[in-house]
Amino acid sequence: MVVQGIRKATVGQNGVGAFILQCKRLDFHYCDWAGSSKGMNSFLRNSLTKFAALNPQVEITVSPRPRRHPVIRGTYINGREKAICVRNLTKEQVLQKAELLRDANGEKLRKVTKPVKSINESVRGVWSPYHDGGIHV
Amino acid sequence: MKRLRLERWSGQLLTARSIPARTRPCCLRQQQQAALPPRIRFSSSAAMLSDDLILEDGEELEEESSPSDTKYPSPPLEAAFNSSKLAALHARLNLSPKLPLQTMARTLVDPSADSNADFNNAALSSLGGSIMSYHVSEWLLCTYPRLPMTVLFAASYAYSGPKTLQLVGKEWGVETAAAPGEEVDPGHLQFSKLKPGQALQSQGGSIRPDSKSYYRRGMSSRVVYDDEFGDTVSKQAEHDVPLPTEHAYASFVKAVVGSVYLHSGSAAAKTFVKNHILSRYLQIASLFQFREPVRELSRLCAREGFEYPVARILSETGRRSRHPVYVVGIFSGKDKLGEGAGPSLGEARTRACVHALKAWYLYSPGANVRVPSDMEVAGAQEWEPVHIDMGEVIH
Amino acid sequence: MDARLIRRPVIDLFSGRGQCLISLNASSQRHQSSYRRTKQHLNIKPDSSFLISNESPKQDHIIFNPPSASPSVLHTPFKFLPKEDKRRQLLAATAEKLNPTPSRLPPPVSRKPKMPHHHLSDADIAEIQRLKRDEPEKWNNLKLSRKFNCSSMFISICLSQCGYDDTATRKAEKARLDGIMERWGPRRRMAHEDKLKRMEIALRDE
Repeated sequence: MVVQGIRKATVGQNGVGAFILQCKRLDFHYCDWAGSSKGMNSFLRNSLTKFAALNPQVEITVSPRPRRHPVIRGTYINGREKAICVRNLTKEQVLQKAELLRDANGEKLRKVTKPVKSINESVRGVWSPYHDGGIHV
Repeated sequence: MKRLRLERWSGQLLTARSIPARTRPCCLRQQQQAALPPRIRFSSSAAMLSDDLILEDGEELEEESSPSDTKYPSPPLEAAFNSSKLAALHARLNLSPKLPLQTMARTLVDPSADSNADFNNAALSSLGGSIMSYHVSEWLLCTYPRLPMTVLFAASYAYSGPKTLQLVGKEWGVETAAAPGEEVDPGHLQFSKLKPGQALQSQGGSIRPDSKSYYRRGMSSRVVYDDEFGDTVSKQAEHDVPLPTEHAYASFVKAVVGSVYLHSGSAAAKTFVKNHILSRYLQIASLFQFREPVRELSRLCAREGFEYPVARILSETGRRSRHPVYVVGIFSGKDKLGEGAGPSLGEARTRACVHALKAWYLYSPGANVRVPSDMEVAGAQEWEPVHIDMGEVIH
Repeated sequence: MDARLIRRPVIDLFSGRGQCLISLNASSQRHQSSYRRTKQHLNIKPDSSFLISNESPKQDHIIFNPPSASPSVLHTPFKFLPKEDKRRQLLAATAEKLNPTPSRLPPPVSRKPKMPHHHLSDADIAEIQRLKRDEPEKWNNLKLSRKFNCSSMFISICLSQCGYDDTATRKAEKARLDGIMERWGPRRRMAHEDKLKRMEIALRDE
């Protein structure tokens, strides 16, 4: 027993290897009566079948929400939810919102200042003043 | 040699006669397995079961006489077609249409939820677990041929241990059912949960023959008697006791691998393991815990016929100050083996020895080294022997 | 006491040490006026290998600029590469150019002369054990190792089988050391604990 092993767990990197779509479920809520649901109802009648067939990895539920504005709610693998109110939007705009929710990753929106992030070690290592002489100023 | 008929392991194909105790319509098989049920899940109709299913023995599908008095511990097979969660999971994992939804539903039923071996994932998960540990260990052994046994156990635990597989299962978007039962959506992971504060049931000793407590559990005996992580295997594992969540997730992920193997073949299973398990990030260099690095390095040099390792000061600053820094290199003859920096000469030397030992143990012929299972592909190039090390340093 | 506390920064300002303080404060705050100066200060000439001169090759070439960092453990040293590895030939070809063998090696850490090994016969070992058995107080490990010119480690290995029961001595020695540690103040104690922690971290290489 000379060297001991330390037990750890690996970290997933979605997209390295397999890619898992982060949107787990989309709930479509509509109202039969209110005018703000007009575009939503038309979307549900005409485009939802195609949208669902194109995105089999998303579970889709449709449920009425009487006397309320229509809402699309996305549930994500990280446990968060995102809801978009689609009142008074047309069919195409509702589709756009559904696609936006499908493509989101569920994280809070934040400004991306450094577009490339990596958990890999730096190839050149951490700079040290004791190595290689450095640059003499 | 008799061929193993792996498809027999899948309990859906067992005949009803082999399980006389239960009369459950389990002997179903899809006709060509090509036609998946329609994937549009918000339709509420359930009339998609009858046409493309035949009975294995040509028997008639028995109608359930009274559904009220026979409560099954897991959802019935036809519920798999109506579950939108299950179909979404199938599509999310990008599984082949050869893998039917019934099998997918079965991978989610833990033995603690349904003790009937024809309806739970015990067989699939033991098959998938051995496939996964085979691919993980062959990759580790070929990529890092000099890893000590303890670190190899830790690395395979990191890749395919229950903690990691729980993370994998959660990243696939699988949720647990609150309690198992017939009415549960088959897209949920079903198992009986261990209550908080409840102790794990002891599994009745280990299968090791050295039962006496004073026997040493050495590394070489772990290779023979223990599992792929160096833990003891329990003698009689009871399946229907409550279990921690990570074990349920682990058996689910293993069962998915097993079902991919059964329905799509070994190449698909290998790709699946590569994409979902081996692509995860691990710093293997952080798994080492040394005890006597200085002595170990000197034994290594003696074993390999190198000159005796000598610690030499490469640079230093502030020797008489409160915070000195020494950079010490370990030299064998004129070659530098490793170096380390520390606030005292002793610590710097220890770090340098640890560095040199890790550089020895983490030798790798390259990230894309061929593994033995690459030879199963038709028309593969001739096998070049991989580097085999004589083992870790023992002192 | 209070007067000294107030006076101290004033004295520091006039003494040479104060200069350091002022410059630290100045550099930690960046104003509009000092931005350009700082920028100019950091505008260093690039490494000579990056500059294009008359000697630099005309076609595509590799700029060799090794990192100023401690080497990674994933870079296996030349000596540790197995015989059949292809990198052996590649490294051997470029070794002369990249890191030429130093004519003089750096100084070793321990300057103590090494004790000779394997020079004591069975009779010597028996003599060591006899001395310890007869006069245990007089012959401690250090004295024995000096007399026989071997390491005290070797002496302790020999004496582990000589039949002399040293538990009382060990206990007394431990009590003495514990007494010394009892008298330590908080600074020394904390420094000692930190040292032990650092050694543990060094064994994990973190």
